[in-house]
Amino acid sequence: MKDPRYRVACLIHEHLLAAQNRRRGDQVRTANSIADELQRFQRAQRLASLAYIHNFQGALRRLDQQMDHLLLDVKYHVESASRLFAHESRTVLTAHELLDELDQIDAEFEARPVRQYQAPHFRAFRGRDNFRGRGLGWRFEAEERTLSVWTEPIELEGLYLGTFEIKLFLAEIGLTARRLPFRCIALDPHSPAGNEHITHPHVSDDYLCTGEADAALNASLGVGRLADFFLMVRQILRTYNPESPYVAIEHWEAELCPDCGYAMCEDEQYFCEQCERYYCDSCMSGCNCCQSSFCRGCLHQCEFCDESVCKECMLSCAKCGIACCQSCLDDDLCPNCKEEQEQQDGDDEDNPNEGEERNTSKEQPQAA
Amino acid sequence: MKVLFINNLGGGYADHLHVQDGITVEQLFKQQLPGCKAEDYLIRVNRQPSARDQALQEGDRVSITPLKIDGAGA
Repeated sequence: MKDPRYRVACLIHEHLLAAQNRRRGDQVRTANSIADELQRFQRAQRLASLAYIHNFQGALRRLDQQMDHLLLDVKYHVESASRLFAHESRTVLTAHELLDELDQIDAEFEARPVRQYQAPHFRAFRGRDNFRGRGLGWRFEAEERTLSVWTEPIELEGLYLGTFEIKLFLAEIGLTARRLPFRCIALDPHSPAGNEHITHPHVSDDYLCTGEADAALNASLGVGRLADFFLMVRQILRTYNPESPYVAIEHWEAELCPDCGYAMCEDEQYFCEQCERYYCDSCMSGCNCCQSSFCRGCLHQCEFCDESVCKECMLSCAKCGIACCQSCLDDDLCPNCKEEQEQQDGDDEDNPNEGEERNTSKEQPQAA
Repeated sequence: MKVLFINNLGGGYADHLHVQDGITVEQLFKQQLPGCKAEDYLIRVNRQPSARDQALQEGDRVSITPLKIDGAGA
């Protein structure tokens, strides 16, 4: 009894029993729901018979819909119950068997990486109730109620991802069927460019997407086959599934488009000569005047024609100074100034003296 | 004789199996997972790595875990 490993095994056993009890509670609730829904279905069925006899077409339609919904609910609860009861047919391992599990984990897993001993992340575990396996293959943290193991440095198809800590949260076992109660924490994260939440093609925010192993992991955890559980998680981390990664390995080292953040392969990068950076296809555009390619940020919109043009092709009106594209400039004047000038020229042609008078009147104050 | 066979493939289950006396690890593997290659699995007998030709004993615990398990993501 003094063996700290046995104490850990007992604590794990307690958590597994608590999870089993929670499942029993869920079973009772689910069974009650099925019974309630079947009663409601029977009542609706009786009313539907009466509605049929009296030819109440509106009531019949409403009752048909109600019975359809009830049947769907019953189906859902029966499926949940079958999952819950399937779990229950297995017995939780005893504390002695869990001790064997811990010893197997000790033998199967790497000792905690030595380099990490000094890391701040590891200082927290020196509490008096924290234990580790003889071969240092696992660590139990009393406060967090977690059991951790470590993988060897993982490398997938030449991509180095580093060591992962697989941390099982014992208090969360059986709490929710949606997510298994463990995290995969990268100790030396090698995230893809611009996405530090992802530390492995199948890990996001420390959550491993377990894919096809979900049922087997649930089954092993339900009874306390912890060694199998950790081994399966490790094997998932060692496997690359190119069908559905968060970020594909070929995009891991890819450059990110500075505009939209898309991870670009080498053949998807386009160079903007203005800002001298690479962008993705969607964030590149062309100058309407010189037809050269630029990123959207380096293109300017002409106020007159609304077309995008580069800095070189965006000129200023000689008269009012407004920015205007080369195509809209005429005799160095923007369309407004050009129109004004043409109007003025037209007036001058109609009344040549007026122009002279105006010139004279303009000069007068200077002379004065 | 009876052995405990734990299969971590697919749904994952643990079953007590009746097998012939003296059956080897390899023979049991072929019986339970026909068409699969033993080298694609971690096979443990009583929690220890085992040789293919190791003969099983009454009450042995045999577990198999696939080496490659596909995770998912997006």
